[in-house]
Amino acid sequence: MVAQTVTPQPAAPPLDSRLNRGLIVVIRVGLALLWIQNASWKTPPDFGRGDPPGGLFKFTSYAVEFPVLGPYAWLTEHVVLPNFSFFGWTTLLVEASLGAFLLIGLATRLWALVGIGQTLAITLSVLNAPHEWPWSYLLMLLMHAAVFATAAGRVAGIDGVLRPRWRRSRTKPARLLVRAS
Amino acid sequence: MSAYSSLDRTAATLGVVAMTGAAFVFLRGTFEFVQIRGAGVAVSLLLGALAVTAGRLARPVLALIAGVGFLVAAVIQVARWADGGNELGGDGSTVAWWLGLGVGLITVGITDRLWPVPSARLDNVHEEGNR
Repeated sequence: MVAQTVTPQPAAPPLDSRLNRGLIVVIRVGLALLWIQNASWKTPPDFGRGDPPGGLFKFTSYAVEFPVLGPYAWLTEHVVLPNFSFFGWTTLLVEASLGAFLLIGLATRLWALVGIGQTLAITLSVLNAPHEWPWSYLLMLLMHAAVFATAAGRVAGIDGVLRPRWRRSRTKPARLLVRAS
Repeated sequence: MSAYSSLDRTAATLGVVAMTGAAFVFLRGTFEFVQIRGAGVAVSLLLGALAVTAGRLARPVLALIAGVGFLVAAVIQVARWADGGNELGGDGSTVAWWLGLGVGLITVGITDRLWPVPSARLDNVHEEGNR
């Protein structure tokens, strides 16, 4: 009997399939629409601060009312809520930008990381509040991780169009964009 | 396929996305991902058409103008929304939507100036870049 050596064939990269590329685009754009739609209720200038409180202010105050992590609850109570106009505008800017950049697929991996950070902030605010479904936030984290891992902006995104030029360029912004995409 | 033509196609695609997004005017409730109403419909259609024209005519400067237009519209939207005026009829979702289109079109419009591609390398560079 002659022993045969079987050389394993290298697996095809997952994004070689048109179906898989299409699904990556759906995930990225779907995630963008999540942030875009949820920018609609971060309403300036009070962001829900009032009597009774509502909107972003109410959900942020859940971090104190139903604490998830002690230090985060303290930070929210003593830093965030007393300066809520600043944090309200910051939240609107970050979430609108998340929707914007994920939609067009520009600097996608960087914005996936920002999305993970923002999801963690939301999770630490509302996870223990009544009627919350913890998997919502875990799924958001996993979706952003998938967008990061697949560099989803390189498929039907601006990253995919411009990355060749960024890679050839010696300028610092181009090198940063290569890393961010 | 040259990298330059892919830029034109990107501008046209963003224009089509902008014009298609105007259809959100017909949606209400759960699937109204973006609030496009009133004057916002005209903004989306006009600037979207300009972006499509930029792509079809291979005129990056038109993409740049359309992109700046979307950014200005986003700034007006957020400022007037905060004031309680809201002539453009949108909300934060409109700001995010136009911000994306604006940044995308501006990026397309300035790419040839920032990162020009030597003409002899045009055909190769698109294939190399995503490795």
